[in-house]
Amino acid sequence: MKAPLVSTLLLLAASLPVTGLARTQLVTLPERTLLITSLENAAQPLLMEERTLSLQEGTNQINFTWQNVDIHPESVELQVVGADDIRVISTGFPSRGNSLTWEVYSPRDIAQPVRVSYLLNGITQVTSYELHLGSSETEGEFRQYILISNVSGEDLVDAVIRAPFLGEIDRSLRNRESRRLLAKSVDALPLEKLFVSNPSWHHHAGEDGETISMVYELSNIASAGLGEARLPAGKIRVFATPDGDGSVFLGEDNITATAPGESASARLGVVSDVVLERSKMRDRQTNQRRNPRQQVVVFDQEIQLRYTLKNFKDEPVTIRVHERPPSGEWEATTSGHGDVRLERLSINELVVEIDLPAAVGEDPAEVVIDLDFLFRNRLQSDR
Amino acid sequence: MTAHSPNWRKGAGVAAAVMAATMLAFPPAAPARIDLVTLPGRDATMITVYNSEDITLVREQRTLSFSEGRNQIQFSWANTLIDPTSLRLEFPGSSNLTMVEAVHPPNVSDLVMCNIDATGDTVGEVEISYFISGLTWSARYHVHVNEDETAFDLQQYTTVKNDSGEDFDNTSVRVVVGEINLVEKIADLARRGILKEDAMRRVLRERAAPEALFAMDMAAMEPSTRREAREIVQQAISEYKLYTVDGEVDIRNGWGQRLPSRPIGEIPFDLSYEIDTRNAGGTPMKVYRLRNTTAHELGIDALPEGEWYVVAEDGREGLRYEGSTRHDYVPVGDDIELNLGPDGLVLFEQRLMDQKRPDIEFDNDGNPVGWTLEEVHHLEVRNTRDQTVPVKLTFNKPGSWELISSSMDAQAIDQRTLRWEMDIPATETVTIELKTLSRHGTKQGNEPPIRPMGGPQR
Repeated sequence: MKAPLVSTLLLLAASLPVTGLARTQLVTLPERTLLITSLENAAQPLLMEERTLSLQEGTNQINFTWQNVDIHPESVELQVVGADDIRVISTGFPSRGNSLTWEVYSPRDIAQPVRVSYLLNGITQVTSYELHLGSSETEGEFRQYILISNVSGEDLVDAVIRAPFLGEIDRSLRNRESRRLLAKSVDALPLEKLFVSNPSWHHHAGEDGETISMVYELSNIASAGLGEARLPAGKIRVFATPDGDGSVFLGEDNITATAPGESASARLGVVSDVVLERSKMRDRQTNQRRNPRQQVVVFDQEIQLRYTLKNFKDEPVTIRVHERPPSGEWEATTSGHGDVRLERLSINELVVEIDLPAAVGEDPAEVVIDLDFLFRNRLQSDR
Repeated sequence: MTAHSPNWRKGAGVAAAVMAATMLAFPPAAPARIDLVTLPGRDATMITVYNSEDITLVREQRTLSFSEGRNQIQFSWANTLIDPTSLRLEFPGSSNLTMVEAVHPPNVSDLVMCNIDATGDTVGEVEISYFISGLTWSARYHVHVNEDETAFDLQQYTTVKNDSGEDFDNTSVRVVVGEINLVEKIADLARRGILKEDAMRRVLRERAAPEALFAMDMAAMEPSTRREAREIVQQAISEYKLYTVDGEVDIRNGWGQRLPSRPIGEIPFDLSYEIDTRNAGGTPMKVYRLRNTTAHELGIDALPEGEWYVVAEDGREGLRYEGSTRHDYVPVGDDIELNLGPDGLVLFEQRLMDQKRPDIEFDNDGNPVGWTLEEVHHLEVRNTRDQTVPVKLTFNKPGSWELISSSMDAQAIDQRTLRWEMDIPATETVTIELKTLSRHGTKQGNEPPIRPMGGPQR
């Protein structure tokens, strides 16, 4: 039989009179006076609740039980608020079962506020983003949302929820309930629109053209209206708003967690108005060294890649091509016309950045670039 | 343990651990007559729990009345694992009592009868000790970090779990840190000598029962024996450490007791980040570093191995979970490093930037048989926090290699490992350029060791 989805978190205070034999007696069933749900550690929510216990002079026994919720028993902690002479003497817990028993010593009868904190599974948060572009595509309206879902089994009634970006909000979050909350909003977030190609080193599409992706890059920095905290990983959806004609969905991507000062990139779709034809024009060995059987054992290798770029857009664009050469000793140079910059990110990644002028009338702007790689001292085993 | 009486054996056929001590007297004039003469209760109990093996030493004191002549104390138990060979009786302060023999009767399990001679009628204190299986202990540390991450309050707990089948009320607790050697497991001895197979299966089944099924008298809950906060006193016993928990406690079968020691406040620590290219791809880990010394408000006792549970003040009278980590035993004076995992605010990237083979060697057939490989590595650490953070970066490269140069002084840890320690200011990036040389084929052999580029910076 399926267990009913009813959870209970109970605090029962029982007193053990100071003298004589005793059985536990129920004294109060204290209500929560405060419930704070901390989601600041995204992987593990921490709940802290405040209750007022009616303690009697001597040793008091407090039973804390739960059902149908997944609490980490070892994390449950009771703290006495503002009274140094009232102390938790011991914590008893059964090997199996969902309960704890505290023994709390009080030197007097008192209504004592206490805080109980514990790790509770089943409260999740998912971050998502929306970007509404202006007509210039150099800035956009940025929204960060946090979807908080409660499948813990416990109703979080009148809870204070704390999460990065959200600050502190007062909400109830019942079991199986989700709330999507606006965490951050920037009206004009600066953006960089990029045209990026990631061709395969060993495959050359030639006249078929390499895929060029449309990428928006945003920076998690203060001057952009962000930079306060790490942007969690999440899905970003990008919309464009043509003049007075409603929103158009441009695409979506998952961005990685982005620390302050770092940039996040969202690849949205394929660019059609800029074309990159990439052909291998030369692949030859030089400075060959042969063994007596005339086998080549060591050689230099020259590889020339030719980029033929066409821009059909009526505005200049910059395209970044990420080449991924094999490991080894190499250097790269370019020739041809056009403004080209090379940046070696690692031995296996070279960024070739090319500025393309705007099309003139119906004629696309065309740029031809030769990219020459010279590999030195390659062995047959390198191939 | 309680005296043998029909009243305490509740619920026949259920999981009930029973230890009974029954005293019989054999008056000299009538040896065949057996009379029950006392129903002794425990005066005091102390358990010493080990965590390296499943063994607990139980020592209890009872006051018994002896008649002149031969007296017999009968011990029996059920549903608990006691090593019958470990049972010992001592009579402190009673010189007229002599333990004659311990008898294990035929066809009777779980029972030992001790014959004691008394030279006169005596009321004497008897110390009974034995080994029992099924109790464990562990240490646990709850850390409350202040908002600035500069100091924390520490609450140390000693948790004793009891799955022995026996209740221990009003018991003094001692725990032992250290690895003892046992020739035979206590549970094995108990099973082999006392319990039959089917009985053992019943014990194990009943140990898994969810509740303590009968309680001892509540008089054991004498409030005067409770402590507001317990001192946990450490003493060295040979190569082991013995921790004595102040006061008495009830540890019922099927339950654990987490006993707090006196909390320690405002323990200063250093926040740092550690990067090791061998672990998790070099993901920076947030680490709290301190030392078990008086300068860090510690240094009194060694800290047993245990889990450290860390929460931080969020500045709004609330708490934020930082993480949990296990830490080995910490002797006084040794370092404590609490690795809380990545927080994503310090970033690391390792990139191989260049490779060269400047001198290839060929054999007589013209084939390449050896070369050196020069590599340039960039190790980039970015601090995105708004405060300076110390970073310990450990770089490991498999194989045999030499360090040609490093843009920052490095400490050689071993032939494959270098380490840098640095402070990175807020929002700044440090890039270390490292040039290495490795030899292959015939170039291998007789390589000089890694040349340290200087000592550690701190």
